[in-house]
Amino acid sequence: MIKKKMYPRYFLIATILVYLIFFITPGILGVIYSFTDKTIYSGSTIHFTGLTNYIQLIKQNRFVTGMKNTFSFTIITTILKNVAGFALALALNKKLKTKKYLRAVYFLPVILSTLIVAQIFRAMLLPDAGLISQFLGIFSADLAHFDWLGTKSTAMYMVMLVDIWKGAGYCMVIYLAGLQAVPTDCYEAAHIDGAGGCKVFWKITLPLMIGSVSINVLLCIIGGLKVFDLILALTKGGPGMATQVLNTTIFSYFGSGALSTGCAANVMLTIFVIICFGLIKKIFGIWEAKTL
Amino acid sequence: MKMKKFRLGIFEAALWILSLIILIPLAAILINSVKTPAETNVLTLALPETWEFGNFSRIFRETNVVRSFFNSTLVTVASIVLSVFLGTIAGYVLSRNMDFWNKKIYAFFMAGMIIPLQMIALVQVLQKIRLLDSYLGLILVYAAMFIPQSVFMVSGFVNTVPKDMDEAGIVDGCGPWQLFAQIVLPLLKPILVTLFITQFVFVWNDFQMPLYLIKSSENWTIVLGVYNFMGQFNSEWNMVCAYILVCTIPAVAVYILGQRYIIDGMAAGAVKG
Repeated sequence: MIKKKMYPRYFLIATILVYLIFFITPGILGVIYSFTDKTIYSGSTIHFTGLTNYIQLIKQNRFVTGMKNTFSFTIITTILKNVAGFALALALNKKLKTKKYLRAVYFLPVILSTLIVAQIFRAMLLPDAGLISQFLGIFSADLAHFDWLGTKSTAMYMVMLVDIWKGAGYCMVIYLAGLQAVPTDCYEAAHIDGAGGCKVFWKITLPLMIGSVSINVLLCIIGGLKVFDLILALTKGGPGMATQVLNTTIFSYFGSGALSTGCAANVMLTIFVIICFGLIKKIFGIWEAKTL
Repeated sequence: MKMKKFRLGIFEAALWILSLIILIPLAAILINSVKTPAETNVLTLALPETWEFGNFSRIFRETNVVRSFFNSTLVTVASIVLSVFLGTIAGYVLSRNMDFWNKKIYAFFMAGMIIPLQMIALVQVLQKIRLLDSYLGLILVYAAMFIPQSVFMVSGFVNTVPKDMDEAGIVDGCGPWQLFAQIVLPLLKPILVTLFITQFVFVWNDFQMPLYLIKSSENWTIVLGVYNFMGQFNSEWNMVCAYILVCTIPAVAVYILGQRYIIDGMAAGAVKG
């Protein structure tokens, strides 16, 4: 009784209202639009068209390429960001004098705007003029002329590299936080038993860090599936469709006025995110149960 | 022992050399921002022959950077205050009173933790209620986006606050609002700081929302300003570098000052989220 009086439900009204109007309503509306023929010109008269938009999407090169690119981007950056982040965390967990400053430097890209990071790397990668191109010019003149962001076969890898540059520091701090929770007597016991560095990592550190690994993998995968800023600013999805991902596809449908098609693509993205989330949760749940 | 120390020193030096991967691009921006156009035809790390500070005054003269800066500050602060307030009050009530309906409401909020926003439909909704291309629209959208995270983290934290505190307050004759504002809220400070930091970094740097929701240049946030600036000064890399610098310095200054809180706050935000 006292609960009802002291923690009244009307405290929730404002929160529910804002969330309902600006998050849930667009969500539901997006699903509804995806089954119609709404375009920017159709005004208020729209027709129900069933699965037409989805069938069209699957047939469209732009969407299929975007989907493939999204997945390869997500998988590769997730793995590399985690490997780099874990390695940095292990390195910075040692008793170093300037540990604090090193940690701050490696984390710095995380707080920069993705858009600004993209502009920095566009400048770095300019053929002949950019710093990276000049550095590569030491080895061969061809490498200096090479347009890394403007060539179909390399553009996607460049985008991934920039994402790793920006994101590895974030993984690092989560792993560092996790490492603080690993009890030191585990290491001492292993040391007495004569276990080497590699063995200690695989048998002690990693199993104790499953929690941090699962958080990092989850964040990287969801972030990877939703990638947008970086690609739009670095390559605009080009050259051709080489770096087109789901979110840039949605934006281009929005720009061309094909609203319902864009909504359908957005619904697909949502489904992918939910599936990946469930899958990762499950995998890590099994792994955790095995090691405990 | 001495050998070990020496090896650790080498290791540390190696880590500093590795960190150049991060520092050199930033140094390049800094150096090239004060060069003349002719010198930035090739971007090098060499110091400029003549220090062209005029680049900065040109930016303040020819672009809306001050206005954009104001917009970003307004939108970021307002949306975070709103989202943290709404999330805190809801998270608090939901944690303290988990009855049948409140469980349902909690689950309803949690759905928003991973689901991406439907961007195109969002634009339609805002257009209908005439909030497209306005600060208020952007602020409310960000607030809504972060409500799930705020509710989740605050309710988790309130679970760890002993109920004795509440009971003492009730005995002293607090009303529901007083109980929240005067007794529980001060205890939530650590989680509020974490929420504030993680959301600040996201909103300040976000590009997707303003790109969809903001049209007129006087409403541009700083990130949108950068994007449009690139179209205008595409080949003048000295100006691009100067603009990047102007936009980055405030963020980096705040980062250097509050480095420890920011890193720990963002790590905590991720771990608990």
